[in-house]
Amino acid sequence: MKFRQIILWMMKAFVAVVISFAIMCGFSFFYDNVPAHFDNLNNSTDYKYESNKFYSKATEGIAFGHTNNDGFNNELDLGEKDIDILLMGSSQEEAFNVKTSESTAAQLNRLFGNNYYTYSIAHSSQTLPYFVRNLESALKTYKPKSYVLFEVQSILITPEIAQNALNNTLERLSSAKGIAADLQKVPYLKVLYHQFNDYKALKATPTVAGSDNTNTATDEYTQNIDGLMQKIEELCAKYNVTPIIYYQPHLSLNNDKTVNVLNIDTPLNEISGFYNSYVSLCQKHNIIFVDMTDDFLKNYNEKQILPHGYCNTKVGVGHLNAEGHRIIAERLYATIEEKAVTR
Amino acid sequence: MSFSSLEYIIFFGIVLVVMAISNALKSKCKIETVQQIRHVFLLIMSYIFYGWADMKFCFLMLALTIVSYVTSLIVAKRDKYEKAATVLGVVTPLVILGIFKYFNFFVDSFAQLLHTSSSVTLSLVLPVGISFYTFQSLSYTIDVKRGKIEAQKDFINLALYISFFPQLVAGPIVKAEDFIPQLHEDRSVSLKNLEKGLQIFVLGLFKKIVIADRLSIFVDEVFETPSAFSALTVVLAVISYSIQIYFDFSGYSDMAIGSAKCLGFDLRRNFNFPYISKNVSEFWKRWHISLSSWLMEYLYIPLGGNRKGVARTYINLVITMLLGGLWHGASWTFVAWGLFHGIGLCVHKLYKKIRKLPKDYKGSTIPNIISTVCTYIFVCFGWIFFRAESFANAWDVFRAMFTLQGGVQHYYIWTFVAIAVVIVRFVSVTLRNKKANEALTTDSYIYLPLDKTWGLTLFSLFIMLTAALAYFSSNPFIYFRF
Repeated sequence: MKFRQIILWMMKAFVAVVISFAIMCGFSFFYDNVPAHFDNLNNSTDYKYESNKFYSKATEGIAFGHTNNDGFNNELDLGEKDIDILLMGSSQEEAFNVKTSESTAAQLNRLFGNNYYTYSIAHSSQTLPYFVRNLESALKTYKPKSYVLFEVQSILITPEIAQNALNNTLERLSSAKGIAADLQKVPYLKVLYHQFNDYKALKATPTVAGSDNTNTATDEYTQNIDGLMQKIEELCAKYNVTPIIYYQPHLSLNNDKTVNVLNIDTPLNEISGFYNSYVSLCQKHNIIFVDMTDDFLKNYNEKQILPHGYCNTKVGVGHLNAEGHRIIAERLYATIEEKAVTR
Repeated sequence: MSFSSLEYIIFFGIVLVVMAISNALKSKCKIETVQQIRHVFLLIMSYIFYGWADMKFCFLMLALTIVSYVTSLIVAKRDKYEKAATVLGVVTPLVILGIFKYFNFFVDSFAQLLHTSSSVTLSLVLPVGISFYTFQSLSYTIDVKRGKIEAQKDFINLALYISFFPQLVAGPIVKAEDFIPQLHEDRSVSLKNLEKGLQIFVLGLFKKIVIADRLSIFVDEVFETPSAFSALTVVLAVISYSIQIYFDFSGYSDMAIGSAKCLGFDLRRNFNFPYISKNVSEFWKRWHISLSSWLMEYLYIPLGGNRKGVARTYINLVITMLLGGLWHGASWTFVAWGLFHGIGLCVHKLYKKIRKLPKDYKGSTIPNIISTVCTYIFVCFGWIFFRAESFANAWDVFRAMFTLQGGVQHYYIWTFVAIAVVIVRFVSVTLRNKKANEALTTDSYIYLPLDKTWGLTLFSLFIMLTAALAYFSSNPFIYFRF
């Protein structure tokens, strides 16, 4: 092959790659496109997403929408309404896997009519220690009038993270900066980045955080949870809001049509000691504890629908689906209504 | 090392570069010398490939190769040791296969039969690909004995035939008469080979990491707890499995064929749209062609084939399929799968005999469509035994489907995507073949012209799409365990 032919072929290949890359960007825009996130400067959360950006998810669930002017997934922009209930949660409540109107916050708003307005500042990877670390800033920034909701999917907490949260040394969840952040805005590169992370996760040795598989809560665990909850109690009292922690476990199917209740991966009955300790500490610190287990089980027994998982994932695994958000919204609505009546 | 891993891409890149460099030696050395260097290099790389996870199995393969080499040379001399050497050359691979794959299975089965616990089980790890390379070694000795091929005097050539890495761990099972002559030709990396080989490889990669691996999520879940799902969901899971195993295995075969093609070697196709078969006999001419033709040539025909009367023909068919089932794995569910297909073949033969249908009977459109659907359903029922962990598990799947049980409804979207991919691929190849006035059996690959911008665009688009849609799981190729 002559040198000229090689150059010509390389030019053709370059053009081909550019065209295909452009087509793949178009495809990725609708296939898996969550806006880039950056540090939240008011510290109410670790990060927030680009505001007013289109998002799409077809990798887990099929959903489209856009973030609001505050960079979170809410139906209304920040400032359109006063906030009565502030929702702090993880990627489960971030709700990029469902339509914005199907999220817990949106469904609560519909259930309450004009009485209460719920605003979600949930985002990926936030757990109770992060909520505690960010709570004061969140309460100052969003000024909820009545309630603050904390979504948890695990009652187990990594001791180091809990202690760091209590000592105010918990590191911020990282956000891309500079060129990396700019590259995140290219849809196909973002898809490839996710794919690469999945591949790395596959190669990595799994580590288990949390319990040491004993059914009795350790002193360390109790002290950590007690410390975190005490902070919640103090801050909520200071800002005159009622804290509610709602626990949403996962369900997995058995061949006899029954289901297992899982705390992420661990059967809940194997860590009942931790669970009991968690619940009693909530009571001690005047935090309303809402356990979604019975509601999820009742819904499964009636409809054979699990609260997690989608038509493109394993049943019962992953993030909350629309049904899961609905069940949670209805239970939270009932809890808040009941409290209003008894008050 | 799996074809769908990053390690393999790097490994294969190194092999390609060295093989391409070897072309430059042709102007300086004799072609025979260049070939010898290439073969030694490929042999070393094949052993590295095989020993990537565990080096000790390389010694097993080497020992088997030495036995095949020595016995076939003795057989070729046609002297008084011929019979003994043949027996040794045939029995050795079978014994190795028997010990590693079936010893514990049979000991456990006998113990269960006698209601005792077995105390003589061996703690052996099944070497990857043992079923494939033992069969190649076996057929080589038999072919030398039959005089179909000459015994290899060059040990490197024989060792490379048995260990050639593209087809080593999951086939296709290559016959010595197809492969060894290629070692005597000037075969190496060329642009023409690369153009075709890479396209075949990427097609196989797409089948495996996009379709088969994604389907495995749904299939594994439903087969783990079939009683928890609705009848329709279980039916969809069975359909999904039929596509998963087809794309998993044919994907692997494509990657093997593509890798070999890049290096200048031709391996025969292993699949030919099996789900358009109009009967079970046709299915076995289209599914895992290298295994079915191996079983036909080295088992069914030596058993007597159809030359010893009607009853013996049916018995031979059932024995062949039973052993074919057992070849897939040391489990009674595989035996049941083989038996199921054996009975299916007998019934089809009997039907042809009663209807007095000629061998080249083609039939009309509507009956052909009905036959194709019925054959597909039959094959899917067989897959239930093949996939199930136990008979109890298979029974749960059948019960779920036939009692129209209620339960969790899960309509997995990738099942429908996979069905669409199967249809699109079949239609595109059929149209291409019609246009080219070729029979469907000639070539199932559609090659893009990589010297043209539009061809390069489509190819790079396909690679990018595969990277975007790939499902990264720890799902090894289904046929690795065989």
